[in-house]
Amino acid sequence: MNNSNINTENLDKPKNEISAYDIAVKIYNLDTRIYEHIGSDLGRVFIGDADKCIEKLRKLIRTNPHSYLLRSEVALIGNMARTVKDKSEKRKFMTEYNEILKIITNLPDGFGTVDILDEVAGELNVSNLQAHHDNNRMIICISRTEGSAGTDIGFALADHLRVNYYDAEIFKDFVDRRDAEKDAKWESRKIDLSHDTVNNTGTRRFSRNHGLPKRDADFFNQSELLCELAEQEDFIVIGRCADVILKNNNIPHISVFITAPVEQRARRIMELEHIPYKKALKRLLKYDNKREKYYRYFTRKIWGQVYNYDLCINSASYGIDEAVNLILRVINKEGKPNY
Amino acid sequence: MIPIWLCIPFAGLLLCVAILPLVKGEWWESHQPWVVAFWSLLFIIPFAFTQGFEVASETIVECIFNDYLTFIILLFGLFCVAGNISVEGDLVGSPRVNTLILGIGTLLSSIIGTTGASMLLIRPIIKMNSWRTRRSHIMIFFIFLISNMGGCLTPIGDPPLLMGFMRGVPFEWSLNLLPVLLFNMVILLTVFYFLDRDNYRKDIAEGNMPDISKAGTEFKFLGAHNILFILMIVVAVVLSGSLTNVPALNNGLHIGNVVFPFTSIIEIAIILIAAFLSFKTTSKDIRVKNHFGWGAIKEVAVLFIGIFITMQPALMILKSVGPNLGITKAWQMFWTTGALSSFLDNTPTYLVFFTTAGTLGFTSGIATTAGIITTKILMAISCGAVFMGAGTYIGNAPNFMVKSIAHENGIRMPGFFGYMLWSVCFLVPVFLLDTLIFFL
Repeated sequence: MNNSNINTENLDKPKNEISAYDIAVKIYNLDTRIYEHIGSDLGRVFIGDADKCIEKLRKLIRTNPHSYLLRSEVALIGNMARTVKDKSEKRKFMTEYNEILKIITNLPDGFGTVDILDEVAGELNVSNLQAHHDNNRMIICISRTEGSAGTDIGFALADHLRVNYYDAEIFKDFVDRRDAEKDAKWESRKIDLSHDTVNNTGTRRFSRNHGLPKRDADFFNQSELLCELAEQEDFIVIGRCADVILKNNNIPHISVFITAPVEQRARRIMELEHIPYKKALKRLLKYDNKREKYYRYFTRKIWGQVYNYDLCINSASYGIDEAVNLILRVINKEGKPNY
Repeated sequence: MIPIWLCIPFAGLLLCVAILPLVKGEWWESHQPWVVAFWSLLFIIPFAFTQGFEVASETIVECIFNDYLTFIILLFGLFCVAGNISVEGDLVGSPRVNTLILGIGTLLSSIIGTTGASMLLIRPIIKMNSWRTRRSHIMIFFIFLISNMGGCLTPIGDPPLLMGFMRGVPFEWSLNLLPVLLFNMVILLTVFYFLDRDNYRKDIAEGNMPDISKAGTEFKFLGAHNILFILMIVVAVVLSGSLTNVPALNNGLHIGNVVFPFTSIIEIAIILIAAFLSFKTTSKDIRVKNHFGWGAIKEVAVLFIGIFITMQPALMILKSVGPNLGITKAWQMFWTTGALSSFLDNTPTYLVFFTTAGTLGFTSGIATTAGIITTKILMAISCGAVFMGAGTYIGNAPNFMVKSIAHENGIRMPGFFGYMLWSVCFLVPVFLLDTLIFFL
């Protein structure tokens, strides 16, 4: 397709989706090539994961093709192109840049309607993917309120599917181990995990975390770990904003939120911990509040808001086993683990 | 008396700087010199007709040699030398690190000047934040604090204070401005921290992640010897101010009726030698890493020659009416000097009100060559000239440079009016507090 000849008529057809994507790829690639050519260390216009940047651009082109934002993003690439010293390369880049500008100028006002509001979320829905691809990982992210038996449900589910189970404690151990390894590497010695612990002096912590607060550095380390794990195995993960991290990294998964009425949850804690009702209530509120804050801080989303999850379960209506079965039915793995 | 309509080209040029990048960006990029020439001629020709050819040529030569040349050479020198220094490190641009760097940079501005500190720190801060999408607010607060306010503690910090020093204000007197600076720093850095934290969280929520895989944070100061050249440039600036007392250097090169002082020639020579030596002694690789190019300085050089020429009638009017404006109180001095410094060159603006204050007949205070000025009034004039240079992109030399360098490195900076909106929202409330606490 000749991009410089895009017209409204063409873009109203289904293949226009590809055109918007093509333009996004063209813009992204130009930015990449200019940045690589310049050899600068100071950053570029489109930062981070390529797929994500292209998707963001594609959305912008589809939803608001004549916005100031799109034009200024492209103009920034032009600014960088103008600093290229090699004249023939500069000419090449500028020709491509001008072509893109022409394409953008000729874009229609709108690309018609779409039937899935958040297409990225839809594409990452595991049940969708399982239907079409066999080689996708089975990753289930469970968020839960305190006392809702979410952890037990996650554990039972992992047991049933025979996949690994990760929760905050396991992640903390992983991160601590990585930090200890970093410390050993920094001090140029071999790590002895039998007694090596993390060096928690202020300066070392500052250096290890590259100036970031510990909580933020831990979040980034856990995010990286989560993405690494997602490449290697199927698993169930509890909390850690895993649903958002995976979504941001275009990793297919299913997100589940498990909760129950406050009274039932408090009674469950009472029975499990042998503590009075008031104390149980206080405890669940404290943990819910902590999780809500953590989730909001790193995702800017509301923890427990139903539309942030693929499936929300009131565990008080199902119990642990039935909740596990419900999830299995949704992911189409009911009673037949294929491992 | 200069007719006020001669200020139209200045306003026209400012409007072009403000509007054309938004509405006709591509055209503006390639036609800047023509636009500048157009507005400059639109001032020069009627000026020559109304005031005479001799006055006009004298004014232009004076403006180019005694104002613009020293201004642009200083900027050029620091731009070249700072471009040869690369701070390599793995520090991640987070709210607390950014706040810390802005704080340190603000204080550094008084030691090596606002331009020196800006040019030295702009690239490291861009690099630290290269993993983030939202970065323009960091650059804006960088301009507020490092490119402007930080320069208030010594005459090296900002040219108006150097003028004050040359006219009898003791070198260490500027330290009187420390409480005002600290007060402003606390407010602005606190506001910045929370603003940056909000943007930082948005970046994280969108999946931006820094690379913290390395075992620890390492700093490499490549081209560190260039610090010597920065100091050389600072010395050149101080010398240009202090050598005026040496009788042998009182004269200069005569260009018609205009005298281009030997002190300025010495300053320019030292700066150019520093820039030359910096290039000769530094590997090209460092400049590549820094994404060093001539675009930013070229843009500033072109725009500011037009700004310097077209603002002449405004400065002449200010010089003639300034002393008769009836401005006698500290808060009036602060706001008038400041508001004018946001658009005009802050050095002549400072001098107009400095001279006016000297004629007010105070009996106690700082003894200057213009007369005795009370500490409070001098503080108000100095703070107005230094702080409010942050009001617009053209208020102080490094503002536009920072904007251009940021633009070249993928940071979407606000336009002229967009930036002014930031300064109105964040700086004006702080200046109102300054007025209430320090200048009433």
